Amino acid sequence: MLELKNVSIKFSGFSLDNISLVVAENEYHMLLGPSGSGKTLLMNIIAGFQKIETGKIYLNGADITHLPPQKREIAYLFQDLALFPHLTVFDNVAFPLKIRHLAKNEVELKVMKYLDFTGTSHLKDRGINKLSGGEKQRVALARMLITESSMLMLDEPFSALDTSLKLDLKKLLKKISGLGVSILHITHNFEEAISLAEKLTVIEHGKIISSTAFKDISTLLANQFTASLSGERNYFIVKDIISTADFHLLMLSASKNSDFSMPVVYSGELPEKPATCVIPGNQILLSSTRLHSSARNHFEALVTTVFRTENGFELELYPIVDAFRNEEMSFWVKITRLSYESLQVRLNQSLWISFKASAPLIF
Amino acid sequence: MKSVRYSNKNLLFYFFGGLALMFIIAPVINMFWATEMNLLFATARDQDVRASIMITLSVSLITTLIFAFFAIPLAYLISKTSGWVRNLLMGIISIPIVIPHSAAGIAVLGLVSRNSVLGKMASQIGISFIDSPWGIGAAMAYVSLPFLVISAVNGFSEIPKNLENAALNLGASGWQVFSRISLPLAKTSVFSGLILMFSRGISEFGAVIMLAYFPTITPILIYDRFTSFGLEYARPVAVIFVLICLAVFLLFYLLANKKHRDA
Repeated sequence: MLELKNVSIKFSGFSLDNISLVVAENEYHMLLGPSGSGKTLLMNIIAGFQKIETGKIYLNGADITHLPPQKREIAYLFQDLALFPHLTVFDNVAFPLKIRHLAKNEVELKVMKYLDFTGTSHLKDRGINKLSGGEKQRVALARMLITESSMLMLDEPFSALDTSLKLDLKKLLKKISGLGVSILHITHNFEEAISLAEKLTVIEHGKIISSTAFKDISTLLANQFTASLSGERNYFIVKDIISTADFHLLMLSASKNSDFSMPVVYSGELPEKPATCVIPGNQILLSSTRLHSSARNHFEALVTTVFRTENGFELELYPIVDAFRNEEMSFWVKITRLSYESLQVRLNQSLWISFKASAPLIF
Repeated sequence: MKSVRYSNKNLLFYFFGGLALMFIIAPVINMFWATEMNLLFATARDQDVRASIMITLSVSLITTLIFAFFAIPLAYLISKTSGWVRNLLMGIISIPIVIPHSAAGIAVLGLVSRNSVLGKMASQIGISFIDSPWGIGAAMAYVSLPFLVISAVNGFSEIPKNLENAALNLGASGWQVFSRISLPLAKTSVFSGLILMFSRGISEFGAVIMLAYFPTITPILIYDRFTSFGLEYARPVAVIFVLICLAVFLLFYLLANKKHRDA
């Protein structure tokens, strides 16, 4: 188990502020944050490459705050992998054992075990510069695993991989997390984070915003910053609520200072003090005419922005209010390529937005 | 139009660059061309010439190898510094390059002369720096050491920090990081530095002559033959020495490239 207590460090223009974090035994813990939020700095602090001004770091109950990096026993997968270019794959993986002067046959057995585990034993005699990106990633993981540390740290391991290699690596990381180790994995990608995390901590500008177990991960959307990290852009302020016997009418605005409010029908439970509302982009349907369905929210809107995405398109639409385009509040909708083509989407086109009364998430 | 103008610029570059290249090659070719073959063979058989070449090469080689033990750790330490500390250290290292070599010889002579503290201490164990291979070595080392240090600093500085950090993270001690990661990765630069230091050592004249006219190193012998017998008798010695220097340089260059390819 890794525990950080009130860790702080200041540089000119940036600081890590009072960071407290617990990575429990056998836990896959994701640290999510945008570039420049202090994720890698925090990793370097835990690994011992950066001294801290205040705070304590414990590993399995022992205080490691002042231990040098080589005595910390925390395996670290660097973002650039840091494989030694002058050594072969075998010698890279054998490095931690050779410097501990283990017997030659023991080194060979262990190296082959971890090369097999990561599916790279056929590469053992290759030079590092002759490996592909995915192969390098696996060799670096084998070198990290051979230390048999109980705590692993991964710095953006997916950043340089294409989609198919990402899937392979996800499977391998799932396999590694089954070895009974604690993993702290940093990323800026929400999808990557939720696909592996048992616990998710969000960091921004050197401060921890939230730390949530996977089962409560939807609560992350309550915060505009974490909602934006997740790719959800339909984040609104609840200005007023009119409740009836079978639904609530939410008056939503783009910001606290906005005078414009839009009524949205909501059928779910309301929290004690409803403040924010997220309408997930994939819960919204688009049609060229008004739909006659169970959806209770329908309004006409103009297409103003179109983005291509990995799985289709993302559109920004401004609702038309009293025959005029509203300038204050927009909706982002994710649609498939098929829907895009059948709707014949073009800029300034008028389309109908529909979503169910159960779709909004209220926090 | 743009590409034509650029091409004209290229021609100018070729012209001026070619002149600079000719300036280096022409004197050497001329020296070879002007040397009589029978005089060249006679000089090659001359025992004084052979002895001077032997002492020059051997002292420079031994000096380079001994000082490598000090220069490489120093270069490694400098590569870990930054800002004004690094600038200051690199400035100090460059002193022997920027001062006249005769002045460098005077400076070293002052440090190791028989009346100096170091000279007195050395004489107690039977070492004299005046007119001895020790003096030749001291003078050669003083003027050539910066070439090794600067080359090695550049080599160590180019190593990505994460490689050394990864080695530390995997449990390596500071010495293991240096010996297993940093030095092997910087070996081409270090080797180039050793070649440069050796080459600079064998060609040194100004500093060595202040400490040791005897045993006569080849640059001093060339000067001696020139002042005593004239250009005709100095030239064959110079030709033989230049040929040996080029052969040694080529050998080291090929070795360094082989190491680089193997790496």
